[in-house]
Amino acid sequence: MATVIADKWLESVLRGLQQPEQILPVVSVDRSQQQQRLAITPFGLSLPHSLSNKLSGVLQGDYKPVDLLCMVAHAQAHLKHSAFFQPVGKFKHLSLALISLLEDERVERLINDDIEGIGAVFTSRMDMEQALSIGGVETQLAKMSVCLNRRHNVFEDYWCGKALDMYEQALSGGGGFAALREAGSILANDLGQMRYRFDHTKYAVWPAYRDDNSILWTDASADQKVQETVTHSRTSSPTEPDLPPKEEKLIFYYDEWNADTQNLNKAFVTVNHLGLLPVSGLQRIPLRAAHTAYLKSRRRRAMRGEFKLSVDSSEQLWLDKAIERSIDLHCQISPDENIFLQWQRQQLSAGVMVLIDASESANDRIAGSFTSILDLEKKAITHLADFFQSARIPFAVSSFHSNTKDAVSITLHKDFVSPWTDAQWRSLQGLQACYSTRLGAALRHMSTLCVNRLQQPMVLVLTDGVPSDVDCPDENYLWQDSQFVVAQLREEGVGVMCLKIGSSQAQICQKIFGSSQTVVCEAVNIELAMRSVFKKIRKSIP
Amino acid sequence: MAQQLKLPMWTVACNEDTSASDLVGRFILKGNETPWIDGPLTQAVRQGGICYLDEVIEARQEALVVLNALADHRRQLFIDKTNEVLHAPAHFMLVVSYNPGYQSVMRDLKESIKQRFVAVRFDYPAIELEQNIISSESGCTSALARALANFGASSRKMAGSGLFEGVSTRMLIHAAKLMSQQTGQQNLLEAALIDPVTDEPTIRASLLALLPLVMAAVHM
Repeated sequence: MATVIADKWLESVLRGLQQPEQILPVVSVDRSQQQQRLAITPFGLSLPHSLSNKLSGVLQGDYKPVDLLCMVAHAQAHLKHSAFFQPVGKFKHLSLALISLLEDERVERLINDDIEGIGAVFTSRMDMEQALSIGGVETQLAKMSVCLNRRHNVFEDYWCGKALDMYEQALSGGGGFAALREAGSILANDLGQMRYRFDHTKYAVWPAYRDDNSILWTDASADQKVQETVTHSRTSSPTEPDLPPKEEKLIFYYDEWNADTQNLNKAFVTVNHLGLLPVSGLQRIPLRAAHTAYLKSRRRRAMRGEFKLSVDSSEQLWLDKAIERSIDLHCQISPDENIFLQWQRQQLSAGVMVLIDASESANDRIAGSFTSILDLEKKAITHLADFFQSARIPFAVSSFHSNTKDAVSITLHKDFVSPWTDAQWRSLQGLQACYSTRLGAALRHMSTLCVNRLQQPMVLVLTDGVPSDVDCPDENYLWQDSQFVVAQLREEGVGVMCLKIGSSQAQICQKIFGSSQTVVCEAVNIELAMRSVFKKIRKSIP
Repeated sequence: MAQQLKLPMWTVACNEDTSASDLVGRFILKGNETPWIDGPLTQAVRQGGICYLDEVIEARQEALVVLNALADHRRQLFIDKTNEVLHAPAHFMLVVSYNPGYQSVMRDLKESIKQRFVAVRFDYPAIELEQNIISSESGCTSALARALANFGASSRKMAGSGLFEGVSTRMLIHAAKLMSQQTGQQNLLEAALIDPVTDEPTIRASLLALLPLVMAAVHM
């Protein structure tokens, strides 16, 4: 069964429905299994994990795309036209439900101006028979929804007629949400006097494509709920069971260049390697001045490369012989002496290591949007991955941040040999930005990961700022160290490029990487800049 | 353009095997002789008219080099095999076309060649214009044409995030024709608009989610 990635799906649909001037909201998937409907938060949308199965069902024809479209369009209507976190005050639950119902109708009418034809689609989901079959006061609310949507009292019901009149009157007065509050509370009072019993704990908004409207209101419990949703959407997903398990942390020590004294501070910076383990080659790092790497791990044997079974010293792998040897070993019989294992390290011809600056500044949001620079960087990596795959260029993805010289954290999300899979994509989506930018140490570690692995390595740095850290009061110190490393890497045949997001302090990046190897772009143009970067890479890697 | 200017036109559909000889000409075996046969470019230069190189970016680099002298102030075509230098008459025109954008990430025209031309940029038509095109070409209702134009615009906004290119106007016209013949068949829309552009499950599901907007117009 084809698998649909829920958050990617939602992002695509939103992109298709949005107006050019709109910015995509942040999208996340709630895997807590508690969320049943699409939730709207101030930061964007949060999908229930259960929706993934339904999305796959769309492709199988057993789930109607129209429900999904309505769900997304309704959410977008709220995001664009609703005022969030209105005080609950002394409103009773029925009042809140009715005011929310009126607001749902208001925003659905407004979004019809942006998404032509969506009004008819909403109407198609307002099934009259279904509305009548719900039972209790919920039936009355559902009937009102149908009548408001069709702008006609199709049930010839007194309360529906009154709701229609009050709704149109409230909107015609230009009162907006405040007028709807008044209309809703009057209607709720009327229904209450009719002894309608409303149990808010069992109430579910109808039709099912609409959200629970918790975003519209604020009280202690609502605050908590929103906070939980937001916190969850920001929590990294690597702990999820479908992601690769966390590997042991590896520790490296690197030198750092002091331009004032023209000296290398030996083994000065501590780098913690997280995420995937580098496949091979680390133990072969020579003790050189600038790239001294001391690997402290029991895993080093596991990284020595791959064993190749050879017969009679030939380079050919004989599968039958390999099986025979495995059987012999399993049965504790001495295998044929002419068959032996030969250590061999795979070396790729060329490849690109993408290094993402995940420092705190990447959390800055693009003006007037919910999108952060880190979000754009993640998207850029996705585009770049498509380019690399189409051009068959091996690539790896890593990210870094630093918290003083004693804690530079580098996470390898994808190595050169593994394919670009959903798990790695999700690992990248779980990336969080924090702390500072000790770029020099990160670049030295990139050299460690690339040099023995590739004949023609290239490092592409994605950054929105310049090197800095809290233990470096001299603002020149770290960029001069980075400049030193870049020069040294190039001497060793490692290409280094930079995509600088935002034009502020771009000249420092140009000093570090050189003007010709630095592409500067504004955040909104990152996709275009990626193409330019890719062209440069193509020129470097034939 | 050729029709309005009343000029003959030579069209070459370039591909990755298109060489300089394909454009300029070559000696061929004919009986006991090896006569020279002009290629379309040479014919256009000799006789005057329009030589149109479609998808020029696909042609070999060496094929494009012959355009250099022809497309700048010299207006000359060098035929080294016959030792000829042809001067293009005033009514000779060279027109090339290609798709820039994602396709040029892998292949692109050299700047020196691009700068020899006056460029006319073609993009997707605006919604209203595309609606008229769909409606007039397919004979469908204006509501369906509008919905299809909107669908096309939406799909193009998705391009770049897993979808290489959005739905073309040509595809929308085909879809409108199909829907006019078989009203109400969503699977026709899937076949005409979605399956040709993607088989990636997530993008396919995203496009499927937008189809109800078109179907709503069908039932209007």
